[in-house]
Amino acid sequence: MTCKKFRDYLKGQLAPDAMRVHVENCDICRKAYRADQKILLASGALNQGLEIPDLWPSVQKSLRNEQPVILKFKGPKWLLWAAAAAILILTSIWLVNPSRKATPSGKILSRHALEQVIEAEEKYQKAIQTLEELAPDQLEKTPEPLAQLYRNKLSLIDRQIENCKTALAGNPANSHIRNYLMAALQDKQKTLEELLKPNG
Amino acid sequence: MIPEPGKELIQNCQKRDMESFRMLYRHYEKFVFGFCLRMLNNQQDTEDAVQTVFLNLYHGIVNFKFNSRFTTYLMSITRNVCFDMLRQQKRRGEAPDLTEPVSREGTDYDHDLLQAISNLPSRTRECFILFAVEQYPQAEIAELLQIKIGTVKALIFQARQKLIYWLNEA
Repeated sequence: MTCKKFRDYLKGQLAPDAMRVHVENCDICRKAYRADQKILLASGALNQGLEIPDLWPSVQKSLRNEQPVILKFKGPKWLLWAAAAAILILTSIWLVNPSRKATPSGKILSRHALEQVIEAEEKYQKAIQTLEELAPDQLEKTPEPLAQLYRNKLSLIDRQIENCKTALAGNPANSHIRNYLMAALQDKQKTLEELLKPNG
Repeated sequence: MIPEPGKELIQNCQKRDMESFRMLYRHYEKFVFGFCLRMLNNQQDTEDAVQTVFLNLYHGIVNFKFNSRFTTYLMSITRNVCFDMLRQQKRRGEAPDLTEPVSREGTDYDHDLLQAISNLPSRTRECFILFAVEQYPQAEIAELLQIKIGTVKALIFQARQKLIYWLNEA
C-alpha cells in the first residue's frame, strides 16, 4: 500500500526531488520508493558485463547455405575474351567451310521466309549504323580497360558478321547461317546500346 | 542508446555485401542479444532468436526505405521473433507463473528480479527492459516500439508496481 504521491511519482507526475522530500515523512512510501530504486539500479546493471556469444559464424553459415552457388571466373579478363574469340573463330571456320553443304531437309528457307529474314536484318543494320555513329565519342569517354573490352567485343562480333555474310554469299537461304547472322546483329545492337547507356 | 548505422552501410547490405552485413551484425549484436535474453530469460532460446533476427534482417533489408530509423526497423523484427519464441515457450509449458511474492530469504536478488521481469506480460516486459535495462528515455521507447508515449508511461508504471509487489518490498 502506498499513498497517491508514490503512484504519481511512478507515473512521472511527481518530480524525483519532490518524492525524496515526501519519503522523509512517509514510512509507507519510503519502503516502496527504496524498493523501486533498488529494482531500477539492479535492472540497469543486468546487461553490464554480459557475455555475448559470437553467433556470426552460425548466421553466416545459414546465409551461405541459402545462397545459390555462382561460379566466378577468377582468371584474368583477357583469358575470358581469348576463349570467346577462339569459339567465335572456330564457329566461323565451320561456317565458311566449303565442304559443308546445306541439307535440303527443312534447313533452307523458302523464298517468302528469306525475304522476311533479309528485311529484319536490314532493320538491325540500320539501327546499328545509327548507334555506331555515336560509339566513337562514347568510347573516348569510357575509362580503360572497359573501353578496350568494348572495342574487342565489337571487333569479334564484326568478324562474325563478316564470316556469316561470306558464307551466305554462296548459300543465301541457309537458315543456320541466317540465324547466326541475326544473333550477331542483335548482339552488336545490344552491346552498342549498353555502351551508350547514360551510366554505362 | 545505440547509434544509428551509416546509410552507406545499410545500402551495401541491401546489395547483399556480406562484409557490410557482418559489420551491421557487430553493431547490433549486443543490443539484440541483451534485449532477447531479458525477454526470453533462456540462453538457448536467446541464441536461436538472435540468429533468426539477423537472418530475417538479411532477407528483409532490401525493403527498408529509409523513412524511419533503422534501429526502429530492427526492433520490429526483434520483437516479432521474441513474441514467436515466447509462444513456443508457453507451448512447452515454460511460461513463468508468478502470482505471489518471491521468497526473499537466502535468494539471489538478481535471480529474483529476472524471474519477476520474465513474469511481466510481454508488452509490459519489453517497455520495462528498454526503460530500466537498456535505459532508453520514454520518448525514444515510444519511437522504437511505434506506440504512443502515454502507452509507454502506462506500461512502465504497471511494470514497476508489479515488480515492487512481487519482490515483496511493499
